[in-house]
Amino acid sequence: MSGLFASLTSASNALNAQRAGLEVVGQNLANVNTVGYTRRVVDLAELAPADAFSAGRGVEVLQIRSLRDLYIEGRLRREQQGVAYDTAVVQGLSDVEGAIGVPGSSVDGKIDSFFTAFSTLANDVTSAPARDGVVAQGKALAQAFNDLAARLVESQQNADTAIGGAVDQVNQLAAKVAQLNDQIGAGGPGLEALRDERDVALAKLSDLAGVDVIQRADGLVDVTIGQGHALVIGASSFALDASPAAPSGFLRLSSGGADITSQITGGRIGGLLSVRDSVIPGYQANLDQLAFDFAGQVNALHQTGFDATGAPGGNFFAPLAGVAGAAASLSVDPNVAANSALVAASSTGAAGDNGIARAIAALRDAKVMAGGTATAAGAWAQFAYKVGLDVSTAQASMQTRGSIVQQLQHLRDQASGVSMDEEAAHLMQFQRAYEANARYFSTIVQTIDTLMKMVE
Amino acid sequence: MRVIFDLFRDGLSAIESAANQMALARQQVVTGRRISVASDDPLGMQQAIGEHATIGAIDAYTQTRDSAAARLSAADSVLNSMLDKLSAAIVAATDARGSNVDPAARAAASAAVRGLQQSLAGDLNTKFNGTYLFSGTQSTTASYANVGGVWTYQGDASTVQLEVEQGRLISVTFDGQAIAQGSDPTDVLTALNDLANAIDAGDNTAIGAGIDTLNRAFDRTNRAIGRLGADERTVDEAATRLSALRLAADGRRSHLEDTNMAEAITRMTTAENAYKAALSAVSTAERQSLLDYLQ
Repeated sequence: MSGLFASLTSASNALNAQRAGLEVVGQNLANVNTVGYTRRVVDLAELAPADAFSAGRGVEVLQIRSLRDLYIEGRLRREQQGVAYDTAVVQGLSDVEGAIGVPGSSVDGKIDSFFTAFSTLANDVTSAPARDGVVAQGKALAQAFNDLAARLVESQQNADTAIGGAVDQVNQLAAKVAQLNDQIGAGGPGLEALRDERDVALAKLSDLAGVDVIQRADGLVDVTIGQGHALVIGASSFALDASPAAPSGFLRLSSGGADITSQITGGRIGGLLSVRDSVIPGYQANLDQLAFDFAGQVNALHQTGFDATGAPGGNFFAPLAGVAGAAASLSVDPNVAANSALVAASSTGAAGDNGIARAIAALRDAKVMAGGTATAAGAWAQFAYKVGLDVSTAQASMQTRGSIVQQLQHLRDQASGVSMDEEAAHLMQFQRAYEANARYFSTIVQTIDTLMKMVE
Repeated sequence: MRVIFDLFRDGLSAIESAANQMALARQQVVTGRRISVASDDPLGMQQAIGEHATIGAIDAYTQTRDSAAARLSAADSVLNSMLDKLSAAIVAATDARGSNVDPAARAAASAAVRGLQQSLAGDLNTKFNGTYLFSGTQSTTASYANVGGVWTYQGDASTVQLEVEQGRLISVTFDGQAIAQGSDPTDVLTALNDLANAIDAGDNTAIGAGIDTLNRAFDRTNRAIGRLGADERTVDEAATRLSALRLAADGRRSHLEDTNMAEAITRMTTAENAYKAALSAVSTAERQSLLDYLQ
């Protein structure tokens, strides 16, 4: 009798185990489209027999666990940081690239028109419309420099605004990771779901800030940013502070009072910081140098000439205080702007002499920019090339890293993804096993029943 | 190996990638431009800006060349006219020289010479587009003015030059004194005046001296025409060169900037096919699974 009842217990255990398997299949199928979900498997183990004369006590459910590969998860986070960085750079520079436009349509076109205006003036220095044309083209060129300088500042400001928003998200996610750490540390059911949720939060955090994730032995994670500054330690999070700082007024990021702005070199914030603090300032320096050299060269010639009244020439462009900010402040000298007769076209003072107009027009072909290495158009072309190269390099890097991320996602899926076919097979497997065990249970019940009838 | 196809992630990524390629190819076909932004081809962009600058310079030189050609043509015409007038004056003076010329003939000859002098003064004070051709760089001042009965050169010895090609300068105004006077003690206008007076007076010696002066003026004018002719040839040659350079630069610019239509359309068709294939592949990817076969 005791053997038959033990068989009933064994069958009951088996039914429970197969039901658990069916539940896991159902959970996997239910979450086939859930982002960050890692597939579950049920681990079954044989219940050893109580003595040498019994077959065994059936089966038990050891655990239901998630299949996650921490190495791939870590690599995936690192590569996604890179993609986020490149994406931020591409997006941050798209406005600048747009402002450069197509060849002949931006500052280069204005430079060309400016020199052509002086060439036209040289053809007839007594022509008032030609003088007006020179002033008009000078204004247009200065405006083109001003506009591009403003666009660069605007791009910096956009990046700065985006950094502020991203920092808020980082703080929210860090708090969430700390909270999940706390729940995971407390144990209990639903741990795997919490880990999945934490992994999703960590992935978003990595996208944003290029953080380092340290897996602890107790199952919690610590998160650091920059050069090891704590963002999450166990159940505690440490918010990043983003405050405007002089002189630019741009946000500086600090952790625990330490300025870590320059230490964040990954993720979306890293890309935005690079655009704001490194790439665009480089462009501004180039543009300022071009504007400064240009104005300096034109003014140097203009001052040696004589205007339409025979008086010595002054500056054509208003004097610039220095290289920094030259593009933003470039303008035609107010006196010249108000009276085109002050354009100094003559090199001798003679009314018909065109020596200075000709000399300024000839600057078009002179390598007097960038330390005597480039013409004005050449210096602009170099600037446009640099912007284009930066964007295309970031795009290429983004594509390459995107491919790596795709590969890693496939690798992750191989370990953690839910396969409908596989789950269908498992469904059938557990269903059949449940049916068989139910039959077994029924058979044992009938056997006991038969036995009971014998004693009636 | 477990192979899992994520419909939304992998499928959409493939569709987006194909759609991007198609959009890029379509944009190139529609706009006709290979380079829309610098990142399309940074080096090509740099070179195209250089070609635009080259074209701009060539166009400016062409404009200058046209201006120079017009001025030279005008000056050529005036100098030839002066040549004709000097010849006429020499003929008139020669006819009036001798002992058997009657007073009426001398009066007619002197009147003719005075008329030619006025006409020659007009030639020397010719304006083109508002500037005097023979005043050197004092192009807003008449070349010669009769001040108190004395002809005075008001220009200077310099000339206005135009750069018709890089480094090639052409004078488009002239030192009127060098033509009208040269190294003579008097200018041709004064000489014509003196000649007319000599004809009136029947002073054959003075008439002979006047004719000699006119002959030297004739020679100077002729030499000026010769120099001007050489400049005109230079300007004409510049036109040919500039035209060829413009064509070549535009070809290079087009090669850098413009879409190769045949290639772009082929690429667009390929991209369209790839896009359709991606749509089809994604739509059928998860149409069936083992679940469909379970009873």
